[in-house]
Formats: sequence, C-alpha cells, structure tokens
Amino acid sequence: MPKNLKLKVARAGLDMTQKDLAERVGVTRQTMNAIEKGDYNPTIKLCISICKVLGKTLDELFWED
Amino acid sequence: MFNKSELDERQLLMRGKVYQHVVILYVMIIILDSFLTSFDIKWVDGIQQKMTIMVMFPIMIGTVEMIFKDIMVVELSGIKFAIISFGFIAGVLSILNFNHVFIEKELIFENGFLSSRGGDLLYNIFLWVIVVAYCLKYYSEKKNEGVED
Repeated sequence: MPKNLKLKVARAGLDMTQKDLAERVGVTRQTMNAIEKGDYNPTIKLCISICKVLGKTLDELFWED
Repeated sequence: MFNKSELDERQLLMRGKVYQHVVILYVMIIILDSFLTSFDIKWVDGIQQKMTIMVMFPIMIGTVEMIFKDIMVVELSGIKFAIISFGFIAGVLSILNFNHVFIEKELIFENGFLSSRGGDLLYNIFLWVIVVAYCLKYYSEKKNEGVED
C-alpha cells in the first residue's frame, strides 16, 4: 500500500502531531503512523473519525487516483 | 479521551495474528515432540520440564511479538508490573540456577539430552528474553518520543 501523504499533509496543516490525532480518534500513535506509512488499511469507521477531526472528506484523504 | 488500556482496531487484528502464530508454533512443537518420542529420542529429562518448555516457548515468542508489534502498550502500569514480576522471578531463578550449575556442579546436559537443571535454565532464559524485549522496546519508545517517521 502506498504512503498516505494526503493524510500527513492535512494533519500537519492543522499543526497536529501523530500522537494528537491518534488521541483524538481513539487509537495509538503507532496505528496512526502505520496508516500514514500505508502499512495498515483502516476501517471505514476509523477513516470517518479521522476525516471529522481533520475537517476533510473521505475522498480528500483516502481516495486513490 | 482514548483509553490506552483498550486495544485499537489494528492492535486487535495484530493480536489475532499473534495468537494464530502461537497456536501454530505450539502444534508444530507437539508434532516434533511426538516424532522424537516415536523414535525413542529423549531431548529433555522429566515430563514436567518437557511440558513447561513446550508451553513456555510459544508464549515467549508470542509475547515478544506482541511487544515489538506495539500490541502491548509498554508504558501501561499493568504491563510494567507484569514485566517487573517476570524480571524478579527470572532473577531469583537465575541465582538458584547459578548456584546449582556453578557451585553444586549439576550438569545441563546428560547423555545427550537436557537435564532437569538444563530445563530450568531454559525457561529461565525464556523469561529473560521477555524482560529484555520489553526493556528494549520501552527505551526505544522513550528515545523516539515525539519523533515521527
């Protein structure tokens, strides 16, 4: 799986660390790191939580062209 | 607020995989032991030692895998307490084993198989492996705190 750079950019845009975002969505920092690195494919529930916290849509963060 | 004592979805998935590895390893050990037994090949003295090693080895592998795959959250006090207990037991066993092996001159191997003392020594090592793996992970987490990949 490719790296999720869109997620990383959106998070950095809000000046959040992986740890901050992980705590807001209810996962560990390591899980957030794995999602950004493309090592873990999150469930739709977790994707929605991430989108809500970052103020983005699913397409903006998780759609691959 | 996220409760660290609860596993998240990735951790639950990984934990399932670790259990799977442990069961597969355990089955393989049983098959290997049955194979050796059927050819009258003895590898350890005493049924109790044999059972302990056969159970402890997959548990050790699974625990180390859980530590390094971030399924066990190393900073949790419950985990710390468990590891300190393991370390204490391993330390006491080490002193006892040291005494038996180096002072009372008990043999680790007898006639080509592990003696009862050798068995004790082996699961003492298993305990140390868990404690050392935890310490390595704990210090690497502390060192990389705030660092993002």
